[in-house]
Parts: sequence; structure tokens; C-alpha cells
Amino acid sequence: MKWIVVFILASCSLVYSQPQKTFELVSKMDGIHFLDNNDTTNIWGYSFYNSEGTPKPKLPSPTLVVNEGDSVHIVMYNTSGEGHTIHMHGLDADQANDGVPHLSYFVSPHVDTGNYRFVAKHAGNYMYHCHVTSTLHVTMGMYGAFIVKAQGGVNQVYTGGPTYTKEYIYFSSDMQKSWNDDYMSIGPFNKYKPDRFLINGIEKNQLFQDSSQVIQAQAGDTVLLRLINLGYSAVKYEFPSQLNATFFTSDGRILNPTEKSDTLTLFPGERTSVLLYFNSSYSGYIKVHYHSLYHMKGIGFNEIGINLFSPSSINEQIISTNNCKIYPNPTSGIVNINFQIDGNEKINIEAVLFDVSGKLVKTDRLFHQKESLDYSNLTNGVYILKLTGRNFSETLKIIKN
Amino acid sequence: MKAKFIFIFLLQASLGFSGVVSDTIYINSGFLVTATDSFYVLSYNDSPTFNQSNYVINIDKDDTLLLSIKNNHSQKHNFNIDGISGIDTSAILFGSFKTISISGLQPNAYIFYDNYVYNSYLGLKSVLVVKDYNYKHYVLNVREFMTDWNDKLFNSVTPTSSYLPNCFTVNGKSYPDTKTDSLSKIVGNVGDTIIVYMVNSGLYHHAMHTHGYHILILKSNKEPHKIGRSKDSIALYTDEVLMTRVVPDQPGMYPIHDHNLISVTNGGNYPGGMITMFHIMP
Repeated sequence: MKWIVVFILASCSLVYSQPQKTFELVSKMDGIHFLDNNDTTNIWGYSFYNSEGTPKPKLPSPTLVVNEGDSVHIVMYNTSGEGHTIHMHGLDADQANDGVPHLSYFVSPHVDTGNYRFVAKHAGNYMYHCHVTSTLHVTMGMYGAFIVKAQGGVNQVYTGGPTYTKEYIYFSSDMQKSWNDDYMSIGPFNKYKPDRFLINGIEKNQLFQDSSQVIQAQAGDTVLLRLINLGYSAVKYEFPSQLNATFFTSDGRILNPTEKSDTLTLFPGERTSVLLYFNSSYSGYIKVHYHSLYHMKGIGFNEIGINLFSPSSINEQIISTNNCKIYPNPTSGIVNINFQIDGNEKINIEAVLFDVSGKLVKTDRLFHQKESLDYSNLTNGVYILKLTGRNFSETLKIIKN
Repeated sequence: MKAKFIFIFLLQASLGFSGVVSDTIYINSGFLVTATDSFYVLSYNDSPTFNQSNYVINIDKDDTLLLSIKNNHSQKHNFNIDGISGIDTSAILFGSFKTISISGLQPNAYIFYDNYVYNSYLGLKSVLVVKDYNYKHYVLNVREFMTDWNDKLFNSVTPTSSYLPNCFTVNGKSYPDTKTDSLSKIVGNVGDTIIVYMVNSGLYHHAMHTHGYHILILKSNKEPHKIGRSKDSIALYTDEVLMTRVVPDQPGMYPIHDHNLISVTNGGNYPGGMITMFHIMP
């Protein structure tokens, strides 16, 4: 009998010794979101509760970070006009805490409060999202990343796993903007056709204008990418081969063996931890393709920058080809071009600038060995410069910042 | 309709008993009914009576399958097994039947189908399971339809519109009917070992998500690099067969659904379509 009491007490102490992490979220349906080209649309989401006034939701909702072994308590207040839940995608919470209407806590409109409790058992990448009419509420933006770090919060991909020096979360999703614009008249839900393809809620040029979205790493860094996909598309990442991309976890579980590849495709709901090894300095891009789940053809595209805005790259990077040198790139306005063309050949080059959507922005005609293009009036972002002349053709990427 | 006869083959004495399994499948036509739609389909059934859920053939490792295919449909059909060569794939005319013998199959699940145009799309794609275990197993055969195409094919008109599916099924049924379907609702107890075959017989790729549990991928006919992964969100490509194992560690009712959310609808309304359930008891 004495041993039973001791066992029960020991069990209780173990339960209560688990660190407790509590988050207070408010579900809200009044967000305004900025997309590329200063387009705006409506979003719904979750915001951290603030007794002095909870802010409007952002896309995605706040990233929640805990450590492996933590006991997690999420309090959700609903002041919006519709019912909501929080589904902890991949956390394998028990039925009551799974966030599925009719099976778990459902948080009624206006004044209700819900509680979700679970233990974060495995380090890795997860997400949370509303599971009420998911076809509407997820599309409207009710989702965010949930990160379980290794025990103690150390910089290991998983407890006892490889270490990293920096980490970035890239959460892919999509939207059919007209649905967000006019969410009272959307549907039928099977006709969803995404036309905005997002990473961390933003797209295209925005990913370069926000320096926090650009990977900043020096030689010797090992960078952890936490890749999460909640779109309706299969998202294919293309990593620069120089960075030896290696995959260590999938859906919050250790991959054994690890997998090395320059490409990774995430279907809706999937997550992967990827390490990039910067054995030397590197700047460039990770390409992100969005593929239809019908024919797997590309329907959207983004790029994640790597070291685009480091001090060295701003002033010193020179694009050098067999035909010309272009500098500085990124530029604040003036782009210098030195053509390396046979001196006897007359220079007559058309310089056409497109934005990343392919829209023509500016055309210039160049006649001299050394030329300057003035892009001061352009909004910041990434552009494609096509240089075309007789026996001469170059396509280059220009960054304005 | 299945009769199993056990013969002892002296040459295989060292392997113990080998069985000859005789089975018959019928190619039937009828109407698949969901909460919002009713449309023309074809189906493999174990009797001459139409059933909108395709029949799954089950045999044990080392069994020889004597399979008769009876065509009850007004058009000709043929019979193929994905990854298996040497099968007589000649036409089976209306009212006639063909018997084939298959042996030596490795433990796995194999898609069998009719490759005449649109017949697989209309439903003639099911699974032969060859098992070497004694656990309970389920087959989740997911497939989507564009009912406008089915209506046209019923009237012998070739569909020309873009494929925009509006009906999503698991074993020929859509949620909420799947909640009570013994083929699709996975029932067990905590600690059970349950084998779940996920099969995509549709034209779309799907992304199956399990609530409550991670499941271990044991086999894949399309992406063997996935074998050994413990997943809660699983890419399921067209014509892919995944053999997975789940050992539930908690009781409860948890959804299994496609996370390409167009697929959790019936006629464009949520919830519906490709959703089924775990029902795990203590």
C-alpha cells in the first residue's frame, strides 16, 4: 500500500514538473491584409490577448513556441460573430482538445472561452488552425505556426539532434483574393482557385522588402528552415545545391535516415525541418513553386532571398557575365552596365525591365560601352532585366531597395 | 461469393499450406448516391447487384487466386493489375466472363482496373490485398468525381469541360455516410496494430491528414523514399498505394481527411467528401 501511495505521488510530481506554457489568443474577423502592389484584402485570425486592446489579426497568426515536454494550455477568447476552434495540426491532442466541432471544444460566438490542453511530446514543426468550416475559415487566414523546440529550447533540430546557428520559419499558403474581398458570397467551396501564393502571409516583392524574410547567414552558419504548408497546392522548394540541403524531420518526427536533396515537395498539411550548410559565403535564392494537385503544373511562384541585404552585397555585388558587368545589385536607383563586346561592333542594346509577375515596367535603349540605367522611381522589389541586341542576350535579376 | 479451397502441393511442402482462393467480381453499373448528388458510376462488386463501394479482394501470401470477372455492363471491359504483367487483358464482352489465375504475388496491395477510356474514372479501380499478417486491416480507396462528366458519360457523350471535381469519396461514399461505413470507419482499441492501406484511384493527388495519431508508412508503390516515415499528413499521388500501420495510443474519435480542402465538400458544401473517422476504444 505504501508503495502505491509513493507511486501515485511520484506520478503526480512528474506531471506537475512539466513546464507549463500558456497562450491567450483571441479569434478575430476584422483583419486587413496588405499584399504585393499594395493590394489589400480581408483576413480573419488569432491575436494575442491584450487587456488594453487586442490588436487586429495578422497573416499568419502569431507563431507559438514551446519546448519539447512542455505542458501547453491555450486559452481562446471569441469576441467575433462566428464560432471557432483551434486544431493543433499534428500535435495528436486527445479528442477533447483536438479542436474539431462536435467532437472537441467548440467556442461559441461573441463571449465564449475555450481551453486546449496537451503535451508537446515531439520537437518539430506544427501548425494551428480553425477547424470550423475550414474551407472558409482557413482560407480567410485563421492559422499560424506552432514550433516545438528541442528540450530546454536548445538549438538542436530535435532533442539530441544536429545543432543549428540560425532558424527561419516559412509558412506557405494561398488565397483566392476575391473570396477574401467578399467573404459573404464565396463558394461553392470545391471551386476554390488560388491566385495569391504566400509565404508567411506575403508574396513576391514583399518577401524582399521585408528583411526579416531574407535568410542572413555567414560562412560557417548552419541554418534551420522550418517549412510548413497549409495551402491547397503542393509546394516545391528548390534549394541552391551549394547549401547541401538535408531533411531531418517530417511532420514532427525524426527522419531516419536523413534525406539530402535540392528539392522538397510539401503537400497540404506537411512540415519538414531542413538544414542548410553555409560552408562559404553565399547569396542567392530558394525558389518556391506552387503546383496544382490536379496536374502538378506550376500555378504560382515565389523566391526566398539569401543574404540579399548584407552590407557587403549592397555595395559590392557585381553581376558578371561573358557579355557585361552590372553593379551595384541590389541598387537604390542607378544600375551601371559595362558591356564587354568586341570594340568593332556597334552597340545597340534594348534594356527591358519586367517585374516578377512579367509586367513590363521600363524600356531603355543603350548605345555605349558604359551605360547607366536610372530605376530611382521604381518601388522596391525584384525585377527582371532583359538585355537584347544583335548576337547578344542576357536576362538578369535586379533588386531595388 | 468467395470459396477457399486448400490443396497441399508436395513441391511446396517446405512452405507448409498454400491455398487456392476462388473469387468472382462483377462489373456493375448504377448510381452513386451522396448527401447532395446521385450520378452514374461503374463498380466492381462481389455479387450481380450494384454496390457503390468497390469490392476489395483479399488473399494471403502464397495463395493462388483464381479470379473470375463477370461483365454485367452493356459495354466491353478488360482487367489489369498495376505492376503485374502476363495477365490476359483481352476484352470481356457484355454478359461474358473470364477467369484468370494469379500466384506468386508479394505481400502488398495492388490496384486492379479497367484501362478502356473513362472506365477507371467511372469507378473500375479497386484493390487486391495480399497479406502476410494477422492484424485487422482497412482499405481507404479515395476518389473524386466531376458529376457533370458522369452525366455526360451516362449519355455516351465525351466530356470536354475542364476537370473540376465536385464529389469526393472514400470507398465510394462521402461524409457523413462514411461515419457509419464499416469499410471506411477504422475501429479498434488502444494498443491494437491496425494496417491501413491508402489508395488513390482518382485523377487528383490527395493529401491525407490523420487526427489523433501519426501513422507509419510501410510500403509505397510510387514513392519508396517515404517508407519508414511516421506521418500525420501524407501525400497520396494518383494511383499510389500506401501500406501504413497505426497503433493507437489514446482512445477517441478522430477524423481522417484530405487536407486539400476542396475535397472535404459535397456539392461545394462543407463538411462532406473525403472524411472518415478513427473510432478507438480504451
